[in-house]
Amino acid sequence: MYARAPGVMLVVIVIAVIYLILLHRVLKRLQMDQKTALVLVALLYVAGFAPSVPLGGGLAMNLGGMGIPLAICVYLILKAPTKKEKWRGPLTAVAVAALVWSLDRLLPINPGSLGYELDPLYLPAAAAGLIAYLLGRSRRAAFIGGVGSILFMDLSSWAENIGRGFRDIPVVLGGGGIFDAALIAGAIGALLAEVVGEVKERLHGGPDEGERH
Amino acid sequence: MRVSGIKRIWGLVTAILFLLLLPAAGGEGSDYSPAVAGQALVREGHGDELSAEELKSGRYFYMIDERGRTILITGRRLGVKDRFLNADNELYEVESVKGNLARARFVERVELNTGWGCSPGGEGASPAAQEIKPAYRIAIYHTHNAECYVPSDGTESVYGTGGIHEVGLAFKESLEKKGVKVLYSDQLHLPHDRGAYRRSRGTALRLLREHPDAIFDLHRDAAPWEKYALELQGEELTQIQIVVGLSNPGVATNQQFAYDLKGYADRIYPGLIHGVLLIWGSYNQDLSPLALLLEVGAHTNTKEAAERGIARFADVVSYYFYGPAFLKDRKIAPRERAAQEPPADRPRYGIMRAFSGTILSLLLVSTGASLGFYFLNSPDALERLYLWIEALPERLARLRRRSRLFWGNLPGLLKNLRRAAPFNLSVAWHRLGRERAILPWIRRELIFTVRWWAKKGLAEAAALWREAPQNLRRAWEVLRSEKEELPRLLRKEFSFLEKALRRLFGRFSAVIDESRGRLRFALMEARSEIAVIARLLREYTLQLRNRLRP
Repeated sequence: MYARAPGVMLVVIVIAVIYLILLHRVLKRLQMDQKTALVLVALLYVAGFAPSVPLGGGLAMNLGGMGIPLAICVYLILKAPTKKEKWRGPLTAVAVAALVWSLDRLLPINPGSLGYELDPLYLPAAAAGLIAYLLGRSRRAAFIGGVGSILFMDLSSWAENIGRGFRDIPVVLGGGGIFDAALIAGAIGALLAEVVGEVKERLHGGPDEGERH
Repeated sequence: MRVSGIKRIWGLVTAILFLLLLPAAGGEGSDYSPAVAGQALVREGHGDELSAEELKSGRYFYMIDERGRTILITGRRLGVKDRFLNADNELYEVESVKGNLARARFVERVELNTGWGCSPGGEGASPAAQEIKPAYRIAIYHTHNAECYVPSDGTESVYGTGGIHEVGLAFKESLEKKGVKVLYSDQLHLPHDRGAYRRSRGTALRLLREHPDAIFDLHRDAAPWEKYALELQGEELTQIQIVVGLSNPGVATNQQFAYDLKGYADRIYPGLIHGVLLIWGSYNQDLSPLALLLEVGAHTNTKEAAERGIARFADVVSYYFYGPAFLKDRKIAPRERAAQEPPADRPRYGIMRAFSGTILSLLLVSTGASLGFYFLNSPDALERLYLWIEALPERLARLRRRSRLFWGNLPGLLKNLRRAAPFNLSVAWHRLGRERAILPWIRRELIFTVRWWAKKGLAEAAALWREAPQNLRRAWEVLRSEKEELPRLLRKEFSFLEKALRRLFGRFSAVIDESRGRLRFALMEARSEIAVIARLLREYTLQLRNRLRP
C-alpha cells in the first residue's frame, strides 16, 4: 500500500538518486571520464540485480556489489603512478578491516548504545576516508580501502562460521548490489578523504595539485 | 602542503586511539542505585546485548521520568535524545544518562491515528489505501539470528539458528493464513557482533526487490519477563516493542509508520504494543520508509508466548494494510459518533506529511552541501556569481530579443522548409542510392577475403602433406632411440623409489614406536591423576559428612 504510494516512492527515489550522483562524482574523481563513470554506475546498478556467482563453500559474489567494485579497485591499483601509491590501497584496506573488525567486537552490538557513535554501516567508510587521508591524502586508497575492508570482513565472518563448524551458512559478498556496504564504504570513504583534504588545503591557502592521487 | 611522515603516523595512531576509546567516553558514569529497581546497577560488559551473567543478575537499562517512575526497562543501552512512546501514548525524551539509568522528561501526549476511517463496516479506508492497490506481500528477516528465549530454549543465545526464528515462522504462518504472501528469509548473519546489521543489509535489499508492503526485522529484548507479559482475552502472550532508528535520513516516515501501527493495534488489541522506542542507529531502515525493527518479548519470556504475541501483531499488520476483511472473527466495539471525526489537532495525512518533510529536508541538505562544496572548491566562484547576477538583466533582454526574433521568423522558416522539402527529399533519396551502391563492393571484398583464406589454407595443407613422410620418419627414429634408453631409465627410477619407500617406512615405524611410548606414559600420568582426584574426593566427602554430622 504505502510502499507504492507516490510519497514513499519519491523518498526512496530521492535518496537513491542522491547516492548515485555521489557515486558518479567519486568515480569521476578517480581519474575516469564522465561517460565511463556513468556507464560504470549503470553497470553496477544493473549487475546488482543479477544472480550471485557461487564461489564454493557457501561463498557467493554479487557482481554489482563486489565483482565490479573489485575490478575497479584492481584497475585503480594498476593505474597508480608510483609503487608507493600501488601499495597504499591494499594497505588501507587491511588497516580499515583490522580497525573495524576490532571495533565490531569491542563496541555494543546495536548502534546508538553510546550516544551518537557511527552506525556500523558508515564506520568502514569513515575509517577508510580517515586512514587513506593520513596514509597519503589518497582518494584512490580510500575507495580501495572501503571496498577491500568489507571484502576482508565478510571473508573473516565466513571463515569464522566455518571454523565454528557451520559450513552451510551462505555468505554473499556485496549481496546488496549497488547499495551494499562495500560500495557505500568505498564511495563515502573517497568523498571524505577528498572533503577533508580540500578543507585542509583551503585552510592552508590553496591546493597543491602535484600531490593529489 | 605535505604532512611529514612522522606527523602522519602520529595522526593515524591518535585517530585509532580515539576510535578505540570512544566506548569509554560514551558511557562514563558512576554506579547508581535507583530506588525503583532496588539493586545496584553497575555498568559492565559492553553494549545492550548483555552478557549471560548480567542477564541472570537482572541488570538492565532503565528509563525513569521526572518523578522517578520507571517508564522502560530494556536490554538496549539508552542515550541522550532517545525517545520512547509508552503504551499510553506518552512521549518521553532522555535528558541525561548515568550508568544504566536514563532520566527522561515528558514531552507530550501523542494522538495516534487509530484507523477509524477503516472500520469493519467498510465505510472507507486510509487515504493511501483508497488510491493504491496493496501488493499483499510482507517481508520478514532476522539480523540477530542467535537470540533465544531462556524458559523455552534453555539459553539466551546460540551460535546458529535461535528461537527467534521460530517466532518469525509463527508470524509468517499467521499472515499466510490470511492469504498474505510472506517473503521470509532465514539467512544467518553470524557471527553475533556489531557487523550483523551490515551483513543483513544484503538480505533486506534482496527481500525489498520483490516490493513487499512492509519489511520487519524480528528481535527479542532483554528485560524482566513481567515487563513484556500480557494477558489478552484470556491468553498469555508477550507484548511487542517497535524500534525506529534515528540516524536514518527518512526517519520521519518510519516513525509515522510505527505510530500508525501502534494506533491500529491500540484499537483492536489494546496493550499489545509495549511502546515505540526511537533510538540512535539506522538498523537498515534507510532502505525503506516501511522498514521496522520489532522486539517480540524478552529473553525471560517463553517462546510460545512470543509466538502468540506475534500472531496478534500479524492481525494488526494485515488490518492496517489490507483492511478489516483480513481481521477474521474480530469484532470492533462500535464507537460514539463524535469519535469518528478526528480531532482538529490530529494530522489527518500524517505519513504523507512526513514524506514531504523528508523529501524537502533531503533536497535542502543535498543542495546546501553541493553549493558549499562548490564554493569551497572555486575561490573565484562568488565573484563570478556576482558578475553573473549583475549581467542578468542584460542577458534576459538579449534572450527576450532573440526569442522575439525567433517567433517572428518562425512562419517564414516553416514556409522555406516546406518549399525546400521536395528538393531535400530528392537529395536524401540520391544519397541513399549512393549508400546502397556500396553493398556490391562489400560483397566483392568478402568473396575475395574468403578466397584468399581458402587458398592460403590449401597451400598450408599441401605443404604438410609433402613433409609428412619426412616427419614420420624422424618420429620413428626418436621412438627407436627412446626404446633403447627406456629400460635403463626405468631401472634407475625404480631403484630410487625403492630407496625412498624404505626410508619412509623406517621413519614411520620409528614414529609409531615413539608415540606408543608417549601414550603409555600419558596413560600412566592420567591414571595417577585420577587416583589423586579420587583420593581428594574421598577426603572431601569425609569432611562433609563430619561437618553435617550433628
